[in-house]
Amino acid sequence: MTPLNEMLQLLVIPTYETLLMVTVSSLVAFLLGLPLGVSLYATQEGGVLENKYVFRILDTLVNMCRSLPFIILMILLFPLSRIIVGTTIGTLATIVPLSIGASPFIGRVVENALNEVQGGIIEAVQSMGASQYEILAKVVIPEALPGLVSGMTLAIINILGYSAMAGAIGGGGLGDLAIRFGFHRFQTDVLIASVIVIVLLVQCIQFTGNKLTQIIYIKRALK
Amino acid sequence: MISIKQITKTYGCGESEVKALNGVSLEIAKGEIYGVIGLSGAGKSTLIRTLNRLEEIDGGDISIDNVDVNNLTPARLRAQRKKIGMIFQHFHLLSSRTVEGNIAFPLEISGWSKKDIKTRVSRLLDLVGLPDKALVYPNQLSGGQKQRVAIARAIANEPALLLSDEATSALDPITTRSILSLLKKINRDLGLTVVLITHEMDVIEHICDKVAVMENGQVIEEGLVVDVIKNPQSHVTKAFLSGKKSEVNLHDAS
Repeated sequence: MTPLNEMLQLLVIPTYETLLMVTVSSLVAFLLGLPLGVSLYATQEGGVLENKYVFRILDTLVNMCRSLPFIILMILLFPLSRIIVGTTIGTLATIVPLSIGASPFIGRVVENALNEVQGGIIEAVQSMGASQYEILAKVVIPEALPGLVSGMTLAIINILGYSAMAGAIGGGGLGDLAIRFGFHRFQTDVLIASVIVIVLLVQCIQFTGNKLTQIIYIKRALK
Repeated sequence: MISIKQITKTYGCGESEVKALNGVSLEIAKGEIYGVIGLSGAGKSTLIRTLNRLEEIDGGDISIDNVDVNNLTPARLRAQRKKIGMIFQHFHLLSSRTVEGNIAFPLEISGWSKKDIKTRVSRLLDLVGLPDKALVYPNQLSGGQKQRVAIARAIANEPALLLSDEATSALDPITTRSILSLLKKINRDLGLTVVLITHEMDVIEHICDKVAVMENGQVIEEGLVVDVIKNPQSHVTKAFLSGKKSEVNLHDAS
């Protein structure tokens, strides 16, 4: 058995690394995924910027990226990680494939959330002479906010799961700790401790997401 | 003010083809409250939606204040729409904005300053009788209050024309009366032309100056409301009037 204080020391840095990876990757993936999702929504049949060619290309691209297992995507993106971060191993290097791997998923999440906005509302603002940009930025996205927040919660937890997987091929963080100590060195207690921290993180993220969604609902008197 | 000439609109093709509008012509004068009545599927909803081009027509001409509605660039169309207010059966208010924010929306997209918006919104809230609801979200309001907000939003930009698409159909009779009175007041005080569609003869009788009766995509009867009620020609008009009477009888009996 590893003594408790040693165990805590072992966990501190990997937990920090995981938090860093997940936070930065979620932010970057959101910045990539939001325009992607809005484009999917706007260019679909009947959308405010209907364009079946653009939609079909984006739709296929998203499906292709999403069908790649994350581990494979990470290997494929090694060269890109090297260009951006200068290395292919460690916490920073993992942020690159994590961000890119999660953005098509976030694109879909955004697309679904926006599709929940009633057509009648869009028609009403069209009748007021709103431009396509105004419809998307001032109406559709704010109206879809609760759905966007709960979708992002789902995506962040997904990214946390991927980040743990990245430990298998040289990423940092809690997944890396679990594999190196728990698997390669047969220290099962370290493995269990890492898993417990990951579970706690997931709980926190889900709780915060639910709380935020609830606050929006209550404010808008939707529930 | 509005001149509609022989407009047509067809949905689908082949056997499932439906002629929603089959050669409709109407003249609507400035300051009038013009009602279009018909059963579901008569084409009245399609007709009103062609006026701000939420619906495109296949043939014919529409001109509003001498502007050819169907020959506008996208930018000109948006400018044109800013001069036409519209209200709907299900209100279509933004749940993400307060009452104040909803009424401010058309002003924001027309480039009004924050200060001017504030004054204008509070004046509109007074006009529709909701001065204390500025900071409330739409879902906290009753149906009648929501429609009042929608009316304030529709006339915020001082349009010359207001389109009402079954605006009282989701409301109870008493609320319907109060909304109709509000529309009448706006029409009188602001000189706004109102085009409304409905399937309730009561609405026509209560506030309209002129009426057109539609069936199968065509106008089958048209004229001053007083004349049409006194001397109905078509079977549809007669049915609407007698349907109303039997409703009244039911009320008396109970």
